[in-house]
Amino acid sequence: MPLRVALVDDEAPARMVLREFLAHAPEVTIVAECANGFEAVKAVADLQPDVLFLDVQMPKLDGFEVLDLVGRDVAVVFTTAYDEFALKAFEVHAVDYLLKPFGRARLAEALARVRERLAARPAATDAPALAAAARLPGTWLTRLVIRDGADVHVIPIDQVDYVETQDDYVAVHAGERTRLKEQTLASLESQLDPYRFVRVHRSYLLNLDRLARLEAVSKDVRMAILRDGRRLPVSRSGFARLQELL
Amino acid sequence: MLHPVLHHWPRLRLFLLLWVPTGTLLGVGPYLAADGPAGDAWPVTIWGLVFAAAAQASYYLVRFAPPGSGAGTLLWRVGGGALLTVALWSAAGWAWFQLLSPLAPAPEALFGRFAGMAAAAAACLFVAMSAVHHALVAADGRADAQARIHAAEVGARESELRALRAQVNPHFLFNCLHSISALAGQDPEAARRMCQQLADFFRDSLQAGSERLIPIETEVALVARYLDIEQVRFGNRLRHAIRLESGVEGLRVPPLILQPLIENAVRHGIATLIDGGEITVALTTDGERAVAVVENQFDPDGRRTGTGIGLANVRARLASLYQERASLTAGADGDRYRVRVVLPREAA
Repeated sequence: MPLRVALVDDEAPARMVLREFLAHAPEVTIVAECANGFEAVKAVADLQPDVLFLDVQMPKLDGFEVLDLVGRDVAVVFTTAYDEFALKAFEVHAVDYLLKPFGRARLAEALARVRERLAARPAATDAPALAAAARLPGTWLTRLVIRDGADVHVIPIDQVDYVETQDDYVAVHAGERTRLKEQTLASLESQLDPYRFVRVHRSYLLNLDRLARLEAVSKDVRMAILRDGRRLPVSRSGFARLQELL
Repeated sequence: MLHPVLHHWPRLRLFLLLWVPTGTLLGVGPYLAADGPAGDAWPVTIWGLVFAAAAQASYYLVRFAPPGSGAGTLLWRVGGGALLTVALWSAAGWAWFQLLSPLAPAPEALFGRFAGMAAAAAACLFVAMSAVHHALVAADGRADAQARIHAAEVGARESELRALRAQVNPHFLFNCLHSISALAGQDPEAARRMCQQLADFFRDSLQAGSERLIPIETEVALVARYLDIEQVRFGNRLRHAIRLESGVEGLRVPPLILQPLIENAVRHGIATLIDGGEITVALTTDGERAVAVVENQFDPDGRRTGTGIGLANVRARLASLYQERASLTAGADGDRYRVRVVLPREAA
């Protein structure tokens, strides 16, 4: 099976050794070499490689964030000097995890696994949900990465006003801007600090910092009024959750 | 505190050996001097032995003197203790001889003639015992203080060693080996050069780590070597400048004290920037103190990558070496992170 490969590492020697090893591997074409996560997301969107050799520690976007953004479209093999990410890597269904320094034989093994995985063609996995599952208990997202074609937007979590479900997507409202992310509201909710983000309604996750007041419309219907004047419906169970926190 | 004689077996053995002759002499000596018949000497022997044992109590007078009491107070306590003990002992002796007079009449009959001499000897014995106790308490105190100082030194040395072992992050080595592996295919000469640099760096840091203080020039050379090695990984993303101001020549610093700071600057600074940045190291003096400032660019919008362990280690080392005479302050200013270390000037 021919493989189209993209290499992602911010260190030139690390890309160099991959390039050299892969040059001798049968039926492998290197379609892109990326020095950071943004380039990687762009390369996946533009060139649709079959496999990504992905460093974990990189500036701006780390390997796990890249996987969160492109994991549906490409098989990922992590490469890193840090063994502590291995468990997390397999939880997000990385195909393999290469510890630097690795040799030719180990790389060939990884390529065999990639071919197996691609041959099996499992149903598209929910990469963000897997990434959520891999998060250490008690640690929460500090920023959201959202892919828009080949562009990547990084939104610090304290800039998020609220998040709303829209079919298979969530709409992230931050100030004037709204961006769509392919993820369910429940899986995003599980990645965020529950003391800051409250599910006030089946369709709304609210940043508590933005809440100005609650307004009773009728006996069972309440509205959350945000600091900027926007209004969100609050369900009965949402109200109970708010009461618990406030 | 335990009794220095009763809870110390070699001393207790010595005491028991001396106790019988001393006690016997104390009771029988004055009695025989007063022409007491030897056949009736056993009550006075027991009497003497009792005092020789009771004199051990003088320890408590010595040990539990109010803190800070001078020699005068001590003499008063010992004198008073001697008088009281001897008086009680004499009274007890008188009653004891009365009781035994049907069996041995001589001690009771001669009591007035030997009691004064026995009391004087007993008082002397009590004072001598106090002096011995005083000397033992002082010696034990010194030994305790020595042990405490020793324990503190061992503790400081251990934390020092722990800190040194933590200096060089193993991931630095893994990444270097990966770079060497990469260079081996494309540029074998560069791979060899990097092996050499890495070996030199580790050899020099081991050598430096075995010293208590090293010349600042040696420390700077180590930092420069480390940065040269990291340069292979980061290429032109890593730029650095090291500045030694006049006045720092010959200063001596704890080995590898800057190393964790430089490592942080690379890992949490340069490595977070797509286009890299600059690390500057400036060494100056400020009167009686040496000042090192390590500054690097970093991505203020990035995830917090540091755990603070590196800085905490350096702080702990400074505290164990210099207590409050050294300091470390760290903080971000825009896209720059600055760590400032102030050390006392150490003579060569």
